[in-house]
Amino acid sequence: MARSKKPKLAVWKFASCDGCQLTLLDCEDELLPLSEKIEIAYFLEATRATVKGPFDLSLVEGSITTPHDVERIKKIRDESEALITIGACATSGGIQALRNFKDVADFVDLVYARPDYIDTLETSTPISDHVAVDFELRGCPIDKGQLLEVVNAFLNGRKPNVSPYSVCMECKRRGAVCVMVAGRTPCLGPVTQAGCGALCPSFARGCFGCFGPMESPNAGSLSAWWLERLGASEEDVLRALRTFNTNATAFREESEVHDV
Amino acid sequence: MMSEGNVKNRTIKVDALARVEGEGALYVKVSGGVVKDVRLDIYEPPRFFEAFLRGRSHKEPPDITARICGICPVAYQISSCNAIEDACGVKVDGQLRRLRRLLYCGEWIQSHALHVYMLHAPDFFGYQDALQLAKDHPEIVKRGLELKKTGNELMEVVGGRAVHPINVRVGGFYRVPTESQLSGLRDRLARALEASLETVRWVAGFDFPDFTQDYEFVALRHPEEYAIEDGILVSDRGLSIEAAEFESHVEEEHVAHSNALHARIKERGAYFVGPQARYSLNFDQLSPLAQQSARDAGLGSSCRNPFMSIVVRSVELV
Amino acid sequence: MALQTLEVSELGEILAALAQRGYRLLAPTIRDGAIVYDEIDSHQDLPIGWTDEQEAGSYRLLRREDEAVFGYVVGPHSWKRYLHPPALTLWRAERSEEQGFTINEERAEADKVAFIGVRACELHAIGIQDRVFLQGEHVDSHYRARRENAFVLAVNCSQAGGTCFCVSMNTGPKVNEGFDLSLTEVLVENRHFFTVEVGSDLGAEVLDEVASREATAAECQEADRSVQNAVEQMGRSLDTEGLKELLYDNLEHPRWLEVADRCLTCGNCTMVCPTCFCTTVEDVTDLGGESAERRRLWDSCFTTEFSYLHVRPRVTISLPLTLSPGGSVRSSSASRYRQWLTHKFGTWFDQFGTSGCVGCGRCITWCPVGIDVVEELNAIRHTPGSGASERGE
Repeated sequence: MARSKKPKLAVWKFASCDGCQLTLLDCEDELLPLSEKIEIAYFLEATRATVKGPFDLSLVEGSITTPHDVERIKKIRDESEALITIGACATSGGIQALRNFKDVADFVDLVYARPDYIDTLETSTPISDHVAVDFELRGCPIDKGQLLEVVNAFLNGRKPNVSPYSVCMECKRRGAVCVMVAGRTPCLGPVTQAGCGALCPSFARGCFGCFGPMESPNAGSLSAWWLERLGASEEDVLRALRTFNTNATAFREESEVHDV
Repeated sequence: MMSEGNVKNRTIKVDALARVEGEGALYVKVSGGVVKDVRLDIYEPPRFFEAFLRGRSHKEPPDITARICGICPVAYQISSCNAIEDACGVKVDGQLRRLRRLLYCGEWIQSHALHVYMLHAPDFFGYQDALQLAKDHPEIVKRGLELKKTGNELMEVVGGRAVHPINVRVGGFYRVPTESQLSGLRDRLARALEASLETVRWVAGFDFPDFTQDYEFVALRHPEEYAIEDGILVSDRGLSIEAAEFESHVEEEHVAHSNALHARIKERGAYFVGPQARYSLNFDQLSPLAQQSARDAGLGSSCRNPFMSIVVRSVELV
Repeated sequence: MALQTLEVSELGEILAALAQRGYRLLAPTIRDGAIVYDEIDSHQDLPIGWTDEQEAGSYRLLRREDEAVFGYVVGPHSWKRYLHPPALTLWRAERSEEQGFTINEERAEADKVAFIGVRACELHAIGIQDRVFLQGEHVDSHYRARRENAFVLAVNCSQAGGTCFCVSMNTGPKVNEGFDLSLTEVLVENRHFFTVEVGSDLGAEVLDEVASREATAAECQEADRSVQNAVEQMGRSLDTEGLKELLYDNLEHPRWLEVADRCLTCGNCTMVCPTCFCTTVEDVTDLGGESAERRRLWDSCFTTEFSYLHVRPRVTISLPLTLSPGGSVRSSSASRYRQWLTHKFGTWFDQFGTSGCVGCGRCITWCPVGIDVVEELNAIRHTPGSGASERGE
């Protein structure tokens, strides 16, 4: 086979749900044009072709939860010119990082008949805790438009238009009515990073933090307002902060305040 | 793939299966022309949903369980809603139930199209993936992508987004779609129906090994419709139970080589689920058009050839 | 032209006359538990019989006991949404053999749009944005096209909201200029009517198509009383005496740190503000780098990228996925809040000759944690730490 000059793309999976990789396959209109510009060298969900590294761009989904994966990510980093993590699991540890607040042995006991067969770490951690990451794309799942933008920016050697400000910026731009102010509905939008297009508020529900903490999150002030003005309980605040980005610093630290 | 030994005596090892949903490795040992051992190692790391769901609010499982699988989140969302509503003695019916089923259909279209065109079909041509298939047959792959896109659009209208919809809640939805949003999908869905019929005709022409297996099929069955999200569990060997009775009839075993539990019917052993089981147990409830397309594709009212699951899946698209 | 009177049933005819002239009707209407500005088909889509109750961080829609058409104040939207849209493509570029790139600017075109129910504070806000976009060296052609094609049907407020302070800012509740037609709604025992003031020739032409008649002295008095009612209900009041100097003298006031403890830096206040005009641009390319476009988006001084300065060009460009070296000038929340407030109430005077605040109260109502500019300014004025001695420290 003739050697391709196209950049080589690899997609890797760690502990995750596959949803972020699927987002790449969900680019129905762009997938074929994209494959003209980039060689899909490793992407098990899509192809059994496996081209050897090094890779120009690695997209990494999932969090690190096993001793084997700690080693595997290092090898992938060594083989990758650029490494971009995609999704809440890869960027913050995902929902499986709920184990970080408990004893994982209890979790294993609860789920598995033979705990001795299970080889897992005490914690679920983001890829950036283990290797250098060139760009983190947030979301549970990631947004298709943002994924294309990041790949596009990589191909064209420019900075992607992915902003770390709050969901409120997108919410107000789209003209949605604030569910917190007008509906007394607890919403994480003010402390959550934009990217989804303020999806939940436009469906009349509060943001539940899929995209993790925004650039300068003030979760303490927001939770005080929930408690004092919106009738939320300490448990409500705790649960809201402990979902898909529970291990992200700002959410974790604030959740610990309410873990009584 | 690694293979050792001659055709009669060999061991096949696939360290990472490609074009499947999830992660797994396969080990097959053949001795004297007879398969002696097969192991499917689901090494996908454990994430402990059953454990961390404890102590959560009853409103949270639809969002949390969706994250079990990004390809079929609606399956988990609706199952968890069903379970909680059942526990609370609430019955969601009428338009809300139909809207849920519509959302689930969106997921089916998306997931089935993905499976048929991008995961399964390339194997019948010896291609490594759908992109290679697209080089030789661009129109076919485009048809598959269009179908998949229609499923995703349906999910976006009803559920808010294609992966991990945000609009599902215990008791119904946060917001119902407007009439204009739904009617805006009508033309696309009509085209998708055409495309799904073409899909059945296309896959029916594949070359299938003549092979059948004597499975016990298990699937949902509903008195009034082709069961997707609601009904009782039935099998072709007499099982007929409510979902809540699952644990008294099925046992789950944890084996050393896999993180996925092995489920067995207590009295009989392994059973078979998925499109072929659904189809074979509910053929009579497929739409007349789907039944006709199945007959035209040469299928009977039951299908026990695992290689033909692609045809059955395509019929379910119809 | 003397004040005219219009029966409440005739409002629909005014709107129909505007529609007949090819105007899209943008008006208050109910959506998702609030009164927003959106396109309507007829006067029946107006929030007839509804009102709002507003406080810091809180908005409630309530049923009125009467059938008032404009019995509420401003909601989360403002007219800048249409005059200065949240997202706009400025130009597209195609790669070409000979010239490198051909740039095609988006044409500044606008539909004819009638703004229905514009309040006095909002007209002042439009006046402020006019100064920003139309006066001075660089005219925003998109804004101009939209502005020139807008018909303004103003309404004098007959009641005030809990977060209103237009009287303090000298911007209301009565409309003075910048409108085509202006209505005052009067609801007294057995009578429900509007007095109409004509503000332009176009307004007079439109009114001519409807059977109005000259207002009686009694009707004019009722209308004045109605506006006076709003003056008396004003939810908040702000001492504006020497406000600019007060802020300049208190750049290190401890209150900035105190408010930063509560401020979410979410940007809501700037998004709902009818005068905030800041934007950012995003350049996007297609996958092959054959075409590009520049999009303009509402930005906010509460984001870090807003004040990001690049310190030096990169020596090697390996992976330009993250921002080049540099940093945000306003990295702390305190500095961002201070920037916003001192611009709005202080440096705006130096820049544009007026205050940047019109007292509409949106930033107070729509702050998710109820931060109140009036309260913050009063605190700076009245708590220790104020005074010229702080200056320059």
